[in-house]
Amino acid sequence: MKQNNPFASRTFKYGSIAVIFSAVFIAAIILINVVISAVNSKVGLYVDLTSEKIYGITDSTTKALSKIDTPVEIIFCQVADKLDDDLYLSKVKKLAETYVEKFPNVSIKYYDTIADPTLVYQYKTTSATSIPNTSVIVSCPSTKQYKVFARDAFFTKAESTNSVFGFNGEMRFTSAILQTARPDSPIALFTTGHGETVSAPLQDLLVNAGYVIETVDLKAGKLDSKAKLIVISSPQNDFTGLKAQSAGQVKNFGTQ
Amino acid sequence: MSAIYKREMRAYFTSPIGYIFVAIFFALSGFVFSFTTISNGTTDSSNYFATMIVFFVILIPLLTMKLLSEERKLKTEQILLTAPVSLIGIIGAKFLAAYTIFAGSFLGSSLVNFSVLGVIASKEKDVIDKLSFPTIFGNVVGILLIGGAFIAIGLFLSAITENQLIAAISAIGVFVLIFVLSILPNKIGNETLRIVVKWLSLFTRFNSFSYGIFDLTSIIYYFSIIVIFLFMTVRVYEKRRWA
Repeated sequence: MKQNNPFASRTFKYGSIAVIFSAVFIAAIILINVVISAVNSKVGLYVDLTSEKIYGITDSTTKALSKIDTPVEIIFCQVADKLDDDLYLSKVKKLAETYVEKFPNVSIKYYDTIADPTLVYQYKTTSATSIPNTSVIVSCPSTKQYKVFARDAFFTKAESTNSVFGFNGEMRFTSAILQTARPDSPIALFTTGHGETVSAPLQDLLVNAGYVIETVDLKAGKLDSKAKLIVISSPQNDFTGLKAQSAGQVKNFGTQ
Repeated sequence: MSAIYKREMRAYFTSPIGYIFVAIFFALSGFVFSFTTISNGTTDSSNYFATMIVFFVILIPLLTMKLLSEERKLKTEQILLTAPVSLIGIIGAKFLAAYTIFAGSFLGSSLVNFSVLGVIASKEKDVIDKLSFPTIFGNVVGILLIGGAFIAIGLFLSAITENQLIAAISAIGVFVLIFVLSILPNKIGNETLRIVVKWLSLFTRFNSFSYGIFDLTSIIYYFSIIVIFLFMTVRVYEKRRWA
């Protein structure tokens, strides 16, 4: 009796061709997606639709950071894909990626601090300080300067409702990069000893503009030569009894 | 192709299904919009769009369940298969008909919702200024794409059964599975597996639109899902034509 070979049947022949054709077609579409995802990771294939263009970088930042070629790292304390699940950190990550695209000296690192918390121990100011995995660190290895930001630092919140209404990521990143990458960050001196009221928003503004805040008692010491700014904030007492050296420095401040 | 498209469009409104779908869609859309946007006193509508996608899990099978399964049950698919129309034309027309109902309902209900928001906020110029139309546009495009992907999947499932109920339940099952796939990654410890699951998730891909990013990779991904499932539906019918 003649036995039919199933592999020689018409059904098998045309069925195999159909299966191979389908598999090749689907594989080609998957390949296109993989290629585009790979290109996207190198060159962001997206358009920022937000009215404030929060994922973009302004000309001021470009101008300020173009003179800096010291390598700076933006460190996230979670693996990259987990950041995408966080509504807020995903925005910070997207902006950080824009910095990396635009400035070759800026790079991003993702540390899995849940798996290995010791990765960020070097950024703790004291042994009691904790760095949550929602923190973002801007670090410059060559100057050994770093800044640690909480997630909320990148956002402006309404005082009454505590709801987020603004994203100030560019200001945070730009000032942090300037502060950490420049070994000689400009110093803003706040005078003390005359009943001055320290204005926290003013200090915050100066820090964001790249200044390092220091205090100075003009009765006691001389001015730091790196100081670019002296702030006398709402003094209650007269500036009498200054040492001749300090008085002279204050008088000539800004003329050197 | 246009004849089949017109016939499908007529079929939606000569039976209650089209009216039921549009009515449920408008009601749900208004309900979701009032809870996520208007009652919260915000112009940020990203929650509205994200919540609507969850409801597509139940709404879209209503549209797709009968598209091909009914033809098979009523034996009218023989007429279709012998008609002087290509299979791509037949499947494309059925997809477009379902998509027209879906997109029309979504755009219509969104227009009503945003008009209401506009009227409420008309006295406060700041609120109108804060309405980010490009972001809304991005979300709308994202919704239309994810809806298209769901319809293509539903159409495919309708092609492999002759029972409308099975087509609807299997579509809901698949959409729920896709939804679970978007929640699952947080529980996966292996990074590579987590990235692959996220990459495949239809819901996760919508996040970029919610964040105000018009992401080309997500757009191509959704188009790919639509093309793959329409292609597979054509293959099912190709096989049936020659069987």
